[in-house]
Amino acid sequence: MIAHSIPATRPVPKLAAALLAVTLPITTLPLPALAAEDVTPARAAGVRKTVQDRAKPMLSSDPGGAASLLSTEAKKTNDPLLFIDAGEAYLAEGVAERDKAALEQAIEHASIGIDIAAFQQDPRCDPAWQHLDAGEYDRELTRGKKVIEDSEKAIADLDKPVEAPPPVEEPKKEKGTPRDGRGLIAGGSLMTVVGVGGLAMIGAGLALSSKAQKDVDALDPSAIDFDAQFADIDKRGKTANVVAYAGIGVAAVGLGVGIALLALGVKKRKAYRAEHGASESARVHVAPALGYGYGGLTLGGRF
Amino acid sequence: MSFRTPAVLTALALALAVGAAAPARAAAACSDASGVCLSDDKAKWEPDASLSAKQLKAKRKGPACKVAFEIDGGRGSVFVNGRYAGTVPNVNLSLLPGKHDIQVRDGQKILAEGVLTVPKGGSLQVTVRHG
Repeated sequence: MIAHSIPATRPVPKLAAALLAVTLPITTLPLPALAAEDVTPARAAGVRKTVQDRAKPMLSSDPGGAASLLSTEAKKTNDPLLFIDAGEAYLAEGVAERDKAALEQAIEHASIGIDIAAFQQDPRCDPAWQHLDAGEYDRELTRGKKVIEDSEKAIADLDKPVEAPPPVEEPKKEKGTPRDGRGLIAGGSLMTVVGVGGLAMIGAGLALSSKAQKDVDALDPSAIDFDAQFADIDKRGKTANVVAYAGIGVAAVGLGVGIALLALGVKKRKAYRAEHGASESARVHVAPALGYGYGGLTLGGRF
Repeated sequence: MSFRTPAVLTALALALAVGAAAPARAAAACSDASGVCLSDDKAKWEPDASLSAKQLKAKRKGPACKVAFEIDGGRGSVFVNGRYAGTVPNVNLSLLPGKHDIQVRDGQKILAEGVLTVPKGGSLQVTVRHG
């Protein structure tokens, strides 16, 4: 028995060819105007909220991504509010990245949003194509205009030549020691010490002179060496007088000049401290010094 | 003066009048008084006219015409039959022949509005002067 193989019919390619033959002309035909869906404010708000909820978390971390998402959805829905949202996101990106192209996109998107929002208030607009409630248009138009203004300002700022920051004026360091009167105080202190030395000379001179006088008074005129002793004591007495007189001069000059210089120095130091602060300054202090067998003043200072 | 002279003058006057009423052909710079210039004589622009709701809903038949919009000296968005169609320079529409309600605006400024009669098939360049 001979088996006949009957060629199987191949309906699939034929069907595909038929479909192709019919489909091709249809696709090349212009599409009739699509029966556009009605858009109401409530319906638009629902769609918009979904998009805004997706974009919101990205606005701070990735404004460019948020802008791209909002732009894509705005172009799909033709929602003027989403166009303005996209404009705001592009503005944020442009400012953050100093990106002029993003700022231009911000202007373009906000402008489209304004175009649509303004048209939707026009009598020519299809009443079945409304994305916003009547009370929302003014708010959105204002928002869109602000995006444009801010973007234009940001672009103008970018176009400005970058100005070098003003040089920070460093406080001029005074050469050498500061002119805070420390020289006068030092000199005054030295002279005061000399004056105090003069006082000491006076005291010493007077004491020696007094002792010499006592020694003279105690001499025995009948003594054989009276003349020699008298001459010796007289010599010491005269020397003591010279010391006392010299001490008067030294004390007068030293204390007069020293106190005057100290006064000038302290005055100058106060003026310097008032001008530069009290961080560093010369200090002078005078304190009484009393003890067993002595008394006086101590003068201390830091220059 | 022959009888032909008044006839010629009348013809010239008519031609001028017709020329002034019809939108100019689209050119690089649109100088038509209406602010709209068309590239195809078969197309017609009726400034400030509008379509009734019934006319808007009327079914249009025939081969579509590729209509491109251009704005001379600025930007703007195009609205066709009450809805947003695009923003120049990205407005390349495929419109069925017949009358279409058109508005072109830049923000709150209307650059052009009226009724555009689109011819069957072919392409049409609409230039709107921004001014």
